[in-house]
Amino acid sequence: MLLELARPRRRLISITPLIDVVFILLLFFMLSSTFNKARQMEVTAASPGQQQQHGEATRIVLSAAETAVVNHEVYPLQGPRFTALLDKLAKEGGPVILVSGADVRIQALVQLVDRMHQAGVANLKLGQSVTP
Amino acid sequence: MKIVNTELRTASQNKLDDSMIPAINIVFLLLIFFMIAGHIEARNEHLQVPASYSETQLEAGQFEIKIDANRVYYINGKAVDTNLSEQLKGMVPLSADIAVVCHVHRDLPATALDPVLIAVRELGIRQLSIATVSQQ
Repeated sequence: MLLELARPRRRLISITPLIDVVFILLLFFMLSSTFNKARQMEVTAASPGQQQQHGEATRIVLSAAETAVVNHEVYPLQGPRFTALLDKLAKEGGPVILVSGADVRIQALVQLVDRMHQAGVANLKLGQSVTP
Repeated sequence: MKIVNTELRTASQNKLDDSMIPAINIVFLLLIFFMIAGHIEARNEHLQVPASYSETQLEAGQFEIKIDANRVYYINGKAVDTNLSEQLKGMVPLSADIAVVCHVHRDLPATALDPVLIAVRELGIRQLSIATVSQQ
């Protein structure tokens, strides 16, 4: 007599918990990942002697009002005169000392250093800030 | 009497499962993308470095000076006072080839950088970099 044995049932593994975990991982990585690329900007510190010199080095004093003072002349940072000045300084290749006013934010200082690097001012030195 | 047609139900379930596969594939791809392309770092609201167009990749210097929004100075993670040159002198024998990377909060006044400039100048360190994030 042929006995009809009950077939062992194949147990199905549900993938729903796996998908849940993957979603949670996805949310975690989406919320915690950053894509900001870390960069660095090389600067050189000016010596006190260089900061005092007015003959050789061009001294640019950055103020919080988005202006720069060069040889007692005020240049708006966004104006064409300042761009022309940067081009001239880049061509001359002489030392440039950038000094910021005490109320200037670091972001503004970095922006100007960035702009000077882009203009081709190679011999740039950073001086201590001055009180107005 | 047969009330539920189990075969039909299973077929519809299978169809639903099949339709979910592209969505699951995309989720997996997104997960892999975020795992590889992104990097996880501790978010510090008190230390947000300025943005710049600099193309130079940030390299870890021998000394990392951090200045947070409360104007607390840290050298390699250790809080120090503003006399940075004395602190740096006490750490390792210094040479001009030592690289110093300064992470400074972008909203601080420029005077916050003065102790760093003084220390770098006094110790004759030539390689000073300011950490920034890409503006692009």
